[in-house]
Amino acid sequence: MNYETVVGLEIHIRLATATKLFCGCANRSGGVPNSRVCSVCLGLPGTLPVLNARAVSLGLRLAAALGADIPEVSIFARKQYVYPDLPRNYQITQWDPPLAVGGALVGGVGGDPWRVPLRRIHLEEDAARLTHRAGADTRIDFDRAGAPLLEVVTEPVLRSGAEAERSVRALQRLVRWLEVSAARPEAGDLRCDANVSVRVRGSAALGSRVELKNMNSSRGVRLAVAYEAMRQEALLAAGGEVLTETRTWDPDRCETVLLRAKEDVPEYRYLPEPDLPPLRITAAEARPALPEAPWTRERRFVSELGLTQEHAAVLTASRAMADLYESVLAEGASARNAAQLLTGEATALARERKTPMVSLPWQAPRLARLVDLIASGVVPAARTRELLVAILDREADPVEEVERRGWTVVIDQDLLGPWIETVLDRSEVQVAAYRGGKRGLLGWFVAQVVTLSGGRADPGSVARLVAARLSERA
Amino acid sequence: MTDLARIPLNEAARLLRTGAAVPADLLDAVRKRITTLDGTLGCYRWLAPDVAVPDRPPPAAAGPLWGMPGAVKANICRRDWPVDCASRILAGWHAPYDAHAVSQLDAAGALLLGTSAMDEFGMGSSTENAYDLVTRNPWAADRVAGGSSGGGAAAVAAGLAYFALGSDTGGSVRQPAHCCGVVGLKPTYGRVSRSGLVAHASSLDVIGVLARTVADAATVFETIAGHDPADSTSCSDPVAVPNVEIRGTRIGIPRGGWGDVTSAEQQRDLDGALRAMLQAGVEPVEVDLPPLDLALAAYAVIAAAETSANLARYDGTHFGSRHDGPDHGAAARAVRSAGFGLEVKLRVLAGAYVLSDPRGGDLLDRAFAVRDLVCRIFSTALELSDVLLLPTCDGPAFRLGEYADDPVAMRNVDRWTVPVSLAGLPALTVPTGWCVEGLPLSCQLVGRSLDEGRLLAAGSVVEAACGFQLPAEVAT
Amino acid sequence: MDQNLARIAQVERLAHLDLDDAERRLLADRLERLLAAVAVLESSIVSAERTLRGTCPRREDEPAEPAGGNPLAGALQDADGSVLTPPPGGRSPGHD
Repeated sequence: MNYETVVGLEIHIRLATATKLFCGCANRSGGVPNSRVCSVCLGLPGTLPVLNARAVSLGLRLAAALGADIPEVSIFARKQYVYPDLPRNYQITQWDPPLAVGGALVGGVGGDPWRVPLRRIHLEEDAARLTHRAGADTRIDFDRAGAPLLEVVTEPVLRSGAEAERSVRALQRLVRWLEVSAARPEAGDLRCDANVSVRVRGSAALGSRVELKNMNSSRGVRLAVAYEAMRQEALLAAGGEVLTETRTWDPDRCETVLLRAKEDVPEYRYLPEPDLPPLRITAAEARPALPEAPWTRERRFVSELGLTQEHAAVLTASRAMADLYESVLAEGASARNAAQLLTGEATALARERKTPMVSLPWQAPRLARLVDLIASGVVPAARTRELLVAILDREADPVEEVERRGWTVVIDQDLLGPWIETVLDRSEVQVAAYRGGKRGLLGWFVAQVVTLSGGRADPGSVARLVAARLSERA
Repeated sequence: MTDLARIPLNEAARLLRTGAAVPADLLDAVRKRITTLDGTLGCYRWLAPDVAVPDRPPPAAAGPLWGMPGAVKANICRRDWPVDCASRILAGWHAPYDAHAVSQLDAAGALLLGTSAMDEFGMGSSTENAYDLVTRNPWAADRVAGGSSGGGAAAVAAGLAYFALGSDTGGSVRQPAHCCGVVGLKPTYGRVSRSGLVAHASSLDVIGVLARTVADAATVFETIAGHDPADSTSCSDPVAVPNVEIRGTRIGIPRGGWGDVTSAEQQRDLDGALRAMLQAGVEPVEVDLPPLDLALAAYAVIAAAETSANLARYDGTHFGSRHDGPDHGAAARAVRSAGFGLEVKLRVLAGAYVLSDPRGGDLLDRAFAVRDLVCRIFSTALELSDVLLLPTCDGPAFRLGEYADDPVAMRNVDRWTVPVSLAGLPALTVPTGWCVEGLPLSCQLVGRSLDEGRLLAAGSVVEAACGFQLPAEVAT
Repeated sequence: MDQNLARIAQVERLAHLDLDDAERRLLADRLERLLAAVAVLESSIVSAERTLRGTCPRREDEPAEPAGGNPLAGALQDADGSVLTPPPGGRSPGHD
C-alpha cells in the first residue's frame, strides 16, 4: 500500500507587544511568578477585558504579509473549559469571523517554489504557566495568562515532516522580519501543534486525524510528524485502526505518546464575548505598509544579484541582515563578494563574540571598502578577520589600516623580484630538483617567498614569476 | 417632625449646603434606624466599620452627594469590602479594587455605608436567595422586598440609606423599587460602567439607582454615569439630564391597554398615571409591544448562557472559597456544589445545557436574532411615541416563600421588565399608590436609548401627580 | 428520558457541579421549561441572522500599574509566589 501523509499546522505566536492582550500588565516572560498580574488578567469578579491596539495592528501586519483576506468585522468568543491555567475557566479567543482568512506561506527560490495555503489567523489570549510535580500540588504562574497570541492555521496540505519544518521556519522568519514577534521557540514565543493523518495515495477521503502537541522546535516538528506518519502507516498496514486522539511528542524517546483519547474531547461551549463589541477594521488598517517580503528579497538576491541559494538564505534570515547587506552594496561593493564576506568571516566573528551579527557596529562604507580590498587581491584573505576586528573595535578604515599595518599584498614585479632572487639563490638544490622535473616544488618556492616577505607577497603573482624565472634560467 | 433619615436626598443636601445640618447628623439619623430596624428588615449584609464623616461644611464645588449616606449592592466592588454577592462561594473574599460607579460616588463625597442585601449573584426576584439572610418588605413583614436588589430598595424605603446602587439584569432594580415604594432607575445599557459589577448576564447587566424621589435618582445617575475605558461596552455619549419640557411629549401605551395586568388595583393605578400625564399636556399613542413569549424565550436562553460562562470562574483556585480535593477538577466540583445555592446551580447548568446543545451556536444566534426583533419593535414604538407607560409588575409584592415550590414561576413576575432589559432601554419605576393590602404599586416608564432626561421628566410628572407618600412607621 | 439523564450528567460534568437526586429532578423540570423556550425560538419566523452592533474600543499598548490592592490576597501561594492547586486529573483540553 502506498500511503500519503496529510499534515496541517496550528502555530501560536506570542506577539511583541509591551502589554497583555486585555490588560496593562507587562507582556514579558521570566521573573518572579505572579508579579505581572492584575485583577483583570486574573479574571476576578467584576473585571472586564480591554483590547490592546498594538496586538491588533501586529496581527493585521502579519495577515497582510501573508496575503490573507481581512474581514471588516471579526468577533471575540469565550472558549469554555475548566483547567487550572485558565483564570476565568474560559479563554477569550476569536470565532467567526476571525481576524483574517486565507493567505499563504511561501518560500523556495529558483525553480523550487512552494506554497502553503492558510485557513485562518486569529487573536487569542494565552493561558497561565503550570508546573506539575509528582506527589505535590500543581503550581500556577499567571504572569503568562492573558499574553497576546496570534494563531495561524494552515490548510492540511503538507505532506511530510520536512515540509512542516520548513513552513514553521518560514513563518518564524516572517514574524521576526515584520517585528510581529521575537518567535523564539525556546522562550515559548512560537508553539506548534500538528494534525497528522495518513491515507492511501490517490484516495480523496482523509484518515483519522491525530493531534500532536509539545513539539518545541521546527526540528521537533519534523521528527514528530515523521514518526507519527510512520506509526499510523504501520498500524494500518497491520490491519489496525488509527484512532482520533491527541498525542504528545517525547523528544527524549523520539516517539509520540497518547495524551487524550477521543472520548475526552471537550465541549467548548463557544459564546460570543459579550464584554467586547465586534472588532471593526478600516480599509486603511487592512492594508498596512509592509517591508519587502523575505521570500521576495531572497528570490531577488538569487535572480538579480546572482547569489547562491545558500548565501541568499543566510542573508535574508532577518530583515536587519538583508538591510545590512544591501547597505554594503549601496556603497559600491560587488554583490557576490559582499555576500561572501558577510556570510563568512563576519558571521564567524559575530558567533565568536556571542553577539547577533546585526547588533555589531558595522559601518557599511567600511565593509564595502574591505570587500573591494579583498576582491582586488590587495589584501590577503588571511587578514580579513583582523580587519573586521579593526572596523568594529577601532572604527578603522580598512584601507588606512592595511597601509598602517603594511599588509598590502605585493604584486608588483619590481618589489617581488628581489625576494624571489634571494630565495632562489639560497635554494640551489630545490632549483635543480624543479628543473629536473619536480614541478610540485613551485609551491615550496612560493611559500618561502611569502614568508620572506612577511606574508605580503601575493602567492599567485609569486608563482607566476618564479615559474617564469625558473624556466628562463637555464 | 419627619425623621431626618427619611427626607429626600436633595432636601438633605440643601440642609447641608445651608448649614442647617452637618453630615454627622445625617449619618447618625441613618445609623439609628439601621440599629433599630435592620435586624428585622435585613437590608444590609455588611456595614463598613470606618465611614469617614467630614467634619467641615461642604466645599463650594461640592455636589448634592457630598456627605450623603448610601448603600452599595453586595455585587458591586469596593476595595477591601466583602463583596460576596450573597454567596457562600465568595465568603471571605474582599474586593481589591473599586467599581467605577463607586469611585464616582467617592469623588462626589458620598458616604458609603455597606453592602446591601441581594439574591445570590443577582438570581431571583425576592431577595430570599441569599445563603444567610432574607430581606423583608418594610411595609408588610410577610412580604418580599423584591429582588435581586431588595436590600437597597428596602433600605431606601425605610430610611436606612438616602440612596442605593443596585443592579438590574431583567428587572432587579425596578421590581424591588415597585415592591418597596421607591423610585428605581435602570439606565440605558452601557450608560454606567460595569467595571466592578460582578457579572451575572453581561449583555443585560446594568447598575441602577434606588432613591426616594425621581430627582434623587437623577442626581445619583448623573454622578455614576459616563464613559469608562475599563468597560468596552460603556458608551461615550455625554451624560446630561436636561430639563425636558414634558408638554407635547407622546406617551406610548400598549395597544389594548393594561388588560394583561393581573391586579385590578394595579390597572387602576396605571390609568391614574396616564391621566396625570394627559393633564400635563402629554399625548397618548397606542403602540405595539414585542410578543412576550418571544422576548422571554430569548432572554431565558441568552441569560442562561452568559450566566453559566460568567460563573465558571468560581472554583476556588485563586480567589474565593477553596475546597481540597484529590485533583483540581474534584476540588472545583466540591467548592461549587457546596458554595452555590440551588437557584444559582440550576441556572448555571441550564446555561451549560443550552451551550452544549448540538444545535449550539445556531440556537444562540436565533436568540440574538429574536433580541434584534424585540429591539426593532421597541424602536418603532419609541418612534411613534417618546416614552412608554407600562406596568412594572402585575401586582404588589408577593409573600415570602410564595414561590418556594416553583421558583420558575417567580420569573413571570419579571414579564414587564425583561423585554425592556433585552432591548437595553432606560426604564424608571415610579411609585403611584397603595393597594388595599397596604403595599405599594407603581408604573414603569421606558425611554429611548440614552434619553434618560425625558424619562426622568416624565417620571417627575407622574410623581407630582400621584402624591405618593411612604408611611411614617415601618411594619414589624 | 435516558438521553436526558445522559445530557444532565454531561452538563454536571461540564459545569463542575454535583447534584443530588432531588436537585436533579428540579433541574430536569427547569430544563423542560428551557426547552420550551428553545422551541418558541425555533418556531419563530425570525431567521438566525444577528446584527452586530458597536465597535470594540482599543487601548494604547502602554504598561499600567494596576490600581487597587493585591489581587491574589487570600490565595494559596508558595514561597516563590506560585499559586498552588491540586494537580489536574486529566490533561488540558485546550492548551498544554
